[in-house]
Amino acid sequence: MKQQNTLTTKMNKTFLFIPLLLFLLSCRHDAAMVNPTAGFLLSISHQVDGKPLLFDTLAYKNAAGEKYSISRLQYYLSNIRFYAQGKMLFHTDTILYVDAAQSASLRWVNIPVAHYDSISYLIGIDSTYNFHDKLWPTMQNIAMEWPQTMGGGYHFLKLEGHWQDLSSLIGFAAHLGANPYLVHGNLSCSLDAKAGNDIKLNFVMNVNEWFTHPFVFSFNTDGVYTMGNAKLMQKLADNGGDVFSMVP
Amino acid sequence: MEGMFFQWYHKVLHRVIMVGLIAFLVGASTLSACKKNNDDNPSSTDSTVVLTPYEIIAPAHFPILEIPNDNKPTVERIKLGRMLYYDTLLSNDGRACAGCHLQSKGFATDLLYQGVPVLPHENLAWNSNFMWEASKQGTLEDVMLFEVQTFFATNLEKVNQNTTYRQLVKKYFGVNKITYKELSYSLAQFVRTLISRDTKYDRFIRGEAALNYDELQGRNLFFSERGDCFHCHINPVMTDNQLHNIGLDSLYTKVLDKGYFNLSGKVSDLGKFRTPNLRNVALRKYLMHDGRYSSLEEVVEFYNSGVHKVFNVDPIMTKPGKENGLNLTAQEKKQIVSFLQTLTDYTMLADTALSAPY
Repeated sequence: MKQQNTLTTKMNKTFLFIPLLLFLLSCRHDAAMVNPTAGFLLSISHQVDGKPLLFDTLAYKNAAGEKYSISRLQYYLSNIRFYAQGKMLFHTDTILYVDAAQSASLRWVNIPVAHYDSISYLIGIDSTYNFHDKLWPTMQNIAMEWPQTMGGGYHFLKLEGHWQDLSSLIGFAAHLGANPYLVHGNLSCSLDAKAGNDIKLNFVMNVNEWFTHPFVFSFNTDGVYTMGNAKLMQKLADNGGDVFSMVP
Repeated sequence: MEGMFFQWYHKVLHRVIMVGLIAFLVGASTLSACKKNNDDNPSSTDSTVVLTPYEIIAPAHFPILEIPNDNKPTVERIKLGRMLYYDTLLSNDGRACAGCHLQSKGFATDLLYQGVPVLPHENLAWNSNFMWEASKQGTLEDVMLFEVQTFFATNLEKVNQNTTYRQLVKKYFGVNKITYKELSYSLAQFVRTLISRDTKYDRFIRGEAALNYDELQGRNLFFSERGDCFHCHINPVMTDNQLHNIGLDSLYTKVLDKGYFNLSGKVSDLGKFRTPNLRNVALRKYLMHDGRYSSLEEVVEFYNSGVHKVFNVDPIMTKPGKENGLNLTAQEKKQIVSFLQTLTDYTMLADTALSAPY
C-alpha cells in the first residue's frame, strides 16, 4: 500500500512537472518576445517615366529628346541597409540579380521593430565580392562576369536597346562594371515595422533616370557604348543614384 | 481533498495528452499520405525499384547544374537512356537520335536536316532554350518528350512489345507499361551526361595545359572589346543560351532566316537565334542557322566585315569602332580561329561511356 502511495505520489509529481515544463516553455517564448521582430518583403518593378517597361518598343524618350527602346535590363542590387534616425538597424549581404524581364523579390525576417526612415543600397557589387568567380555560379552570374582579361569581376548593369537616329535605329549598350563605378542609392521612407508584421516594399526603377539626372546622357553626343569608357561609366554611375523610388 | 484534486487533475491531463497524441499521429499519417500522392516519380513509391545515384561531373567553373527532382541521375536510367539514344526503335523510319548526333562530330552531324545544321548534343544539361529559334524551352525532360512524342512520333505499342525495354522500364521506373514519360526521362538522363569538359581550353583553365602563342592571343581577342565574342559566348560555357540578331541578313525573305519571329510574331524578333555552343565548333561542316558558312575563317570574316546593321541588330555588334566591322588583321583572325580550335574535346569524342552500347 505504501509502495502504491509512493507510486501515486511519483505520478502526481510527474504530472505536476509536465504543466510546469509547459509553463516554463511558454515563459521562454515570452522572453523571446522581449525583442520582437518584423519582416520585409521587397518587390522590384521597372517603368519609364511612368509608362510600363515594354521590351523592344520604341516608346520612350530620354532627356536629350531621343526616342529609344529597351531590349535588355539586368543588374545587381546589393548591400541593402535600413536606418532609423540615422542609425543602421538592419543590413543584408544578399546580392540580388535582377532581370527586368522576370519578376524579382526578396523577403527578410527578424527585422528589428522600429520606425525606419531611410534605406540605402548599391546597384552593383562592392569590392568584397567583385572579382572572378566570387558569386555563386548560376548561369545568370556567369553571364554577368566581366572577362578576366579585362580585369575580372562582374557587370553591375546591362541596359541595352536601340535609339532612333535621323534615319535608322542604332543600338546602345549602357554597361557598368569595375569598382569605381558602383552606384550608391538612398531612399527616404516611413516604415513602421511592427512585431509580427510583414511590410511590403515596392522599389520602382525609372529607367529613364539613367539618362537624366544629374547629367543628361545623349546617345547622339555622348555615345552608345559605355563599357571601357571611364567618362561615360562615371556619368551613368552618377545618374544611377536616383533611379529607384518607393511606392506604397 | 488534495488527493481528489490530483485524481481529477490526473484524469484531465491524461485525456488531454491522449487526445493530443492521437491528433498528432492522425496529422502525421495524413501528411505522409499527402506526400506520397504528390510525388511525381513513380519509382519512389515502388519499393522494388532500386536505383544507384550517379554524380555528374561538371566542367570547371561551370554554372550549377539544375536537375528536376523527379529525375535525378542514376546509373540505371542513364544506361537505359543510352540504349534508347542509339536505337532506331524510337522512330518509324529507321532513325535514331545518334543517327544525326554522331559522337565523332561532337554529337552533331555533317549533314543538314531540312536545310538546317543539326545542333550538337553537348552540355545541354545547362540549357533552358533549345533549337536554333529557341522553339523548345524548359528542361531536358521537356525537350526529350517533344523528341519522342512529336519529332519521332514513337510508336509506344512497338516499344512495349520489346521485352528488354519493358523489363528495364519496370525495373527502373516501377511501371508495367512504357509511356512517353519513361522514354523522355531516360533519354534526358543520358543526354545530360553528354558533357564537354576536357578541351585544351578547359585544361588551360585548370592549369593543366598551356596554349601556344596564337591560341593565347586568340583567346585574349575573344575575351576583349576588340574581338568581343564573350558577350554571347560566355566563358567557359561558350553560349549564353539567349537570343540575338547578329546581323547575318538585311532582308528576311526566307522563313528560315526569320528566327524567333516565327514563334513570337514580333518584328523585333526577326533574325534572332539562340547563341550556339562553340565547343567542338571546329568539327562542324555547316555553321550558322542555315549552314551558310563552312569554315571558321568564313565565320570570323563575317564578324570582321559582314555584319548587316539592321534595325534590331544586337547593340554589341555595332558599338563604336565596330560600325564597319572588327577591322581585325589577317593574323588576328587566324589567332581567333586557333583559339576556337582549342575548344575541340577529343576526350568526349572518344569516351566509350557515351558510345553505342552494343
